[in-house]
Amino acid sequence: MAMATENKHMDPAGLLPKIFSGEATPQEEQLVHDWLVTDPSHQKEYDDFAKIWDITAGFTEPGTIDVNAEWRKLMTTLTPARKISPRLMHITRIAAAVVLVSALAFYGLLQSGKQVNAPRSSTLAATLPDGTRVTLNAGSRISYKKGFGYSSRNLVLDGEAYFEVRKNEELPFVISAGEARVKVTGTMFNVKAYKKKPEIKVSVSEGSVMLYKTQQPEVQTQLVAGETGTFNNALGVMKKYISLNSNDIAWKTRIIDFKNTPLQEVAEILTNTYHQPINVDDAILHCVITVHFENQELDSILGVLQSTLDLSISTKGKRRIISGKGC
Amino acid sequence: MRRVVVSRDTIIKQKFEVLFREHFTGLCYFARKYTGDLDSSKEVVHSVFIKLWENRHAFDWEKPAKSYLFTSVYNRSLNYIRDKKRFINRGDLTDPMHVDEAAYNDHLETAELESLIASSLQHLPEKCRKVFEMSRFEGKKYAEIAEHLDISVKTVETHMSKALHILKEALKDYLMVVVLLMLKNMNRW
Repeated sequence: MAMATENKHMDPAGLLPKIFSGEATPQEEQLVHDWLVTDPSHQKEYDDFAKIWDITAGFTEPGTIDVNAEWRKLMTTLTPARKISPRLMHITRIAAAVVLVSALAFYGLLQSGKQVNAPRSSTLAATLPDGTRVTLNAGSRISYKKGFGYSSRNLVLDGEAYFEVRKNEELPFVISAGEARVKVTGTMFNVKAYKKKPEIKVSVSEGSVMLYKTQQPEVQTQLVAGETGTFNNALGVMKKYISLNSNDIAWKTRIIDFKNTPLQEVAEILTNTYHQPINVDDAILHCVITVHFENQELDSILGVLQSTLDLSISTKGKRRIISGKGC
Repeated sequence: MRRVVVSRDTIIKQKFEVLFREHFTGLCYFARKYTGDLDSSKEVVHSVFIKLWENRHAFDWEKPAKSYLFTSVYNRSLNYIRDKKRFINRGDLTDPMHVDEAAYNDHLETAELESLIASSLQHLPEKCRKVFEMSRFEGKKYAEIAEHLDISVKTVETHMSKALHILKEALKDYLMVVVLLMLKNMNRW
């Protein structure tokens, strides 16, 4: 009786390979046999697994085609060589010699790849080898391999960064953040991708970008200026919003626009913008405020909030604590 | 309502990339039937895409391009064999003069199936794929795999089960026609 129950719930797919490869014990063969006769649909399942087993027979060298790598290779081949007029040839030759020498020196730098880190308490602006300008939010970092800007423009982001990508149709600019990929040719946008948080957020301020999963490069979501895309690493879910919250890039622009914004969100935006921890008392988390700031220091912003909503602000170490009677 | 203007060049570029990603693997397996190895088949397929890119403005992007790609790869594969024959005389290579239509169609179908299997294998979780490959392609016994990967035999079973289930799901549309194809190609495999 116990046997029958076991058979009913048995998953044959674990045992079938043993049968197919002749590794099964007589007991296991009996188990599968019993399972087969309990339900006619089991025979169909058995046949399907047998087919899978048979058709995977010809694969002595699986996984040798990496379409992404092949695509990059093709892109390098297709990058057009510039035509040089004969008159300029000899100058070019001299120049080429000079370039070769510096290229050799530069090659050493490229070999190892590079990492750019922003300090914990301030943003950092950098220009990448391909001319792309990137601003890193505090504590964020990007890294890229040798050959960046030449054979590919792939980089890995941990944290938040605003990109002004130099236009190059032949060499797409690809940002990896967890399981998400953001691909562009030349545009301006913000990517928020902290390893600790499951959600990656892409806000496009100019041009367009493509957002897709590493595993599914063929399914791409296009985001144009004024749109926001999110990808949840934990759930594997991608979403697109036809709106842009300018506060998402306030850390770079220092322009903050609160419109009926609850204090909880106010604190998050201010923390992200000024890299100072801010806590809000539970009692006033949902109080809202409408106000616009440009290039203000944190303390003057807090001062405005304080007098507008009748709040009190205290400090505990580096942390600022906002409290009040409620609204 | 926001209007987005996308240039014709951008559209062509995107269609080109989609074609490449969709068909590259299948085309390689197809070319391999003629060239004999995967590396040279990749070369052949690359040359076809380079040619397509050069002719992109004359190409009709509205029409389905699949048969164009396979025919081009077929022709280039034959050229490849011809050029190679000038240098080395390999008897086992297909003679371009004697390739028949039926074989071409069979090659096309099996190549598609092979590329589907290959990409399904790639999508298996890493450990799962490793276990499946060791069992299926290296002919290792469960106990050997367990020892090699330092996991229990039970875990090997679980991975195998998972692999078969995922492959079954990925290949379900093919399972109907697969037997017929296999019988037809049995002598070639």
